[in-house]
Amino acid sequence: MGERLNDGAGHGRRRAHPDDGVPGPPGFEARLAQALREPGDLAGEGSEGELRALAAFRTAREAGAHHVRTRRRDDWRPRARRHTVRSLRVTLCALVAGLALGGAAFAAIGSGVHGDGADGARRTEPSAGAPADASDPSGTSSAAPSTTDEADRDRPASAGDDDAHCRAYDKVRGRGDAMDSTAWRRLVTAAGGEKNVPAYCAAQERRTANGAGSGKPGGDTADGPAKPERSPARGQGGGAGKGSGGEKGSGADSGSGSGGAVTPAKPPASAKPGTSAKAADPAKAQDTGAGSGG
Amino acid sequence: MGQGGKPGRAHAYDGELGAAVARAQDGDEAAFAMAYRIVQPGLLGYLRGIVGDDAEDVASDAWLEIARDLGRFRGDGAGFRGWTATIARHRALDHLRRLRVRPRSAGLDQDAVLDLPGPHSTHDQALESLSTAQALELVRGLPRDQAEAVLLRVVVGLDGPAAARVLGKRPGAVRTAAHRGLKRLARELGVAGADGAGGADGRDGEGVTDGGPRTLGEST
Repeated sequence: MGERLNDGAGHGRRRAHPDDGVPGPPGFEARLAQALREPGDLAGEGSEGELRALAAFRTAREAGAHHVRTRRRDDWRPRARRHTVRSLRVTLCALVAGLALGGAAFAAIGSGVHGDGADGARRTEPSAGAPADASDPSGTSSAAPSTTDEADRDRPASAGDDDAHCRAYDKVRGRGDAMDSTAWRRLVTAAGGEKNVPAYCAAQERRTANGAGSGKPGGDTADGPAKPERSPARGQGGGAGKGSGGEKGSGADSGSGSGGAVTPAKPPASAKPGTSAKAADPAKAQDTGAGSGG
Repeated sequence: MGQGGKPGRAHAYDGELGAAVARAQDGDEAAFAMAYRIVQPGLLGYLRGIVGDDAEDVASDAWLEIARDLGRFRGDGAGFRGWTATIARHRALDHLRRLRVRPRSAGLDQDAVLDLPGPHSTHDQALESLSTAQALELVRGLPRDQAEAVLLRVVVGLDGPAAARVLGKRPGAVRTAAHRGLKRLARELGVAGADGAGGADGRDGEGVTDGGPRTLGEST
């Protein structure tokens, strides 16, 4: 009996692993295996271990633990099949990732076009002003675009600077060091003295609000008359400011939304020089400050 | 004929085992019991080679984990053997670690004098008279890697790549370890020269007194 058993088992093993020579007689492994498995191990039904295992099985089943994700170490499928599954998964992932990235890139292109559109609109604005200038009877058509351009470029920068300084002024005031910096000194000079700074800032704030609201229509319609006045406005800013300060100071304030075409055109013009024509500005600031104060 | 008494049978049961596991994963309790009965003898033999008399307890712990994680398993019958062997091995190593931290009094069975078959008996006689305790003692006398490789291959019925995966080693290293272990066992049983596979080095009766580590737990 032992002989028969040995032969069959040995044959099976040989066939399964033709390359590794089994040491010992043909049935050695089988006999060893048989010896290592106690007869008692042939787990009879209802053994204690089996009952415990079944109880654990029921618990897990009821807890829904049998529908969980497979970890890598739980995957004992034959290598080739696992590979195809994995390569399929990799392909799918690559496809999805490619689509997502491509979509993002496409969307980015779309938004780029959008930005260009906005830019274009902004850029067409001066060119829309140019024909208006060209239709001007006066000979200043060549000078006009350059001044508006300059103004357009200047305004946000200097006004923004002053605004920022004004906003920061309240916080920094009283702390000595910061006030020594060039930017602050420039602000103080522009305001015409440190105690005038709040008033100057208030005016500045109002002016930027107006400029944003009605600057463009004003600029367009006032092109003809405003341009010639503009350069003188810098020179005699003090006089012009004083003259209009009493009556029109408030007009400039309230007329911003409506058609106060000519008057609002002036404040932006004199607001720009903030950096260059400091001498003219303080006077104006004082005026409007007084106007609003009184 | 005992059921599941030899590795050939282990392979023969794999189709049945795979089907049972698949049904158990769908919630069939009877199928799980069947898988248990197919796998448990090999698992217990393997564990007995590592942790000795505590094998039943360790196997019980392993089965709790197997039952809990059954839903995660993917594979066929042979794969299920490998998967369960991996779980059982982790439990066994945990057990040995605990023992090392808190050693108990020496095991009784290991100290018992075993009446190993003498080198003069024929290999048939030696094999026929090989008791479980003797076989176990011989296997546990092997270096740890050889003993595990032999047990996984012979008792659990895993092929080379699966045994290598259980042990976390390269297949070549595991095959070599199994080969050396079997050769040494055969020599110790005095049956090495029977078919010439043991070669020239196996004959001269060095077998039984070969000084290897006596317990696997200490041999790492």
